[in-house]
Amino acid sequence: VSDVPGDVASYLERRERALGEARRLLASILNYTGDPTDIDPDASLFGTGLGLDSLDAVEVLIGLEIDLGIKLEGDDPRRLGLRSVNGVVDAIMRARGEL
Amino acid sequence: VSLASEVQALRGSVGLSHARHIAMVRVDGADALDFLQTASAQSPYVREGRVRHTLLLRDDATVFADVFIVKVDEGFLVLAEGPSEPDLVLWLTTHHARTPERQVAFQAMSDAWVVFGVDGPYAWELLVGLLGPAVLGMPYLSLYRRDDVVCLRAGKTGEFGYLLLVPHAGATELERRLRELGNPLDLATIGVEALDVCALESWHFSMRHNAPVLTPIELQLQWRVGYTREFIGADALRARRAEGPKSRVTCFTSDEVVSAGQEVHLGDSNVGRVLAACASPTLGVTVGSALLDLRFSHPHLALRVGELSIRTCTASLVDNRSLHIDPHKHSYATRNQPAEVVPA
Repeated sequence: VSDVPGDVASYLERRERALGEARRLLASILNYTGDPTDIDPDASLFGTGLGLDSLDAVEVLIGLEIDLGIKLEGDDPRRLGLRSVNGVVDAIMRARGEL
Repeated sequence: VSLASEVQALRGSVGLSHARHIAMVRVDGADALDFLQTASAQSPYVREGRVRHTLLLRDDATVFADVFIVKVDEGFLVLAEGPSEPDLVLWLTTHHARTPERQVAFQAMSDAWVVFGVDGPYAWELLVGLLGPAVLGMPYLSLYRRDDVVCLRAGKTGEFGYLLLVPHAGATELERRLRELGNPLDLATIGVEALDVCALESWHFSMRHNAPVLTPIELQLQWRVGYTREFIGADALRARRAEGPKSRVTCFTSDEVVSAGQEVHLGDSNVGRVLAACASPTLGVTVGSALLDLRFSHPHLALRVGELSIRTCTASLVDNRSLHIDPHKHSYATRNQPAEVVPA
């Protein structure tokens, strides 16, 4: 595809960067020793999917704050929209004003 | 009863389905576990009372079946979506022929057992009436048995969901009892199409939504794969992973009517095709999945299908009511009461 508009190309670049950050954060919480790119963007965080539990959920919030400087108001990741890897990516990009 | 009202029941109360789309085969024998280890993409070994949700792949790593594997007594039950029961038995038998020294036997179960699905934000309330309060303690992907009924918590709609397995002899009475207990909960009979609409809204994988030529990499199902294990399709899957994925299934919505098979464009360039699309009674828009070139398989992109606009989205699209229900505090009867007056 050669005719990608500049704003789309720029968004995709920022999205890939934030996705990489989300994957590394989740790989750390999951103690996943494989390639973080195996973590699919639409994989659910809880229940089916990555299988995070409520303690892991707190770690996601702490990780966002400590590792990425992103503090979310509230304590329930599901209700904050953090239900999938892409939900975490959205939160990162929103906090940076990129979405 | 319309599809919309079936979906409404699944999202608001409870739906009962005859799960004839699920093939069920029992695997017995001294080598049953070893056999299933090499058959399924994830180890079938789970603690007693738990359920493994995994995949059966073809040799080329495309998905053959979406399966739950359950340890029961001395054997295993394989509950599969995708193939018919004879096709599932044939697949298992063909795989067994590669290692005939293994002591394994397969038994198709639909002649002896019936499967019911119970889904919805108040599905747990119906099953507490049927099986007792132990249902409340069932985590996702777990198993509970009472008398002749085997209950799996294993929904695919984003709401509370259960499968009930019962011998044919008890099926009529079980269904009568479910309908009796479900009457105050506005129980609706629902079909597989409504389950699939809810699966798409909540971004659960359905064998009926995706072309059968895709692997867990494109389908975003790598969490169901153990890359370090040996299983049917593992070599092909690792090779595809080493090449790097070229495309990925992505969620979208549209205000227009979009159909499976249509090409997706960004500007003048073809960037993928629609795999599945349906009207969402919950959201009032079309929801769908598209196989997009990897670079464009991200949410929040405005794309075109012919002259129609679509927008890629972050899944899941629905704020499931089940996420806001605590079975220890809430009930269907008190569903409309403000939270503060619901008894603790």
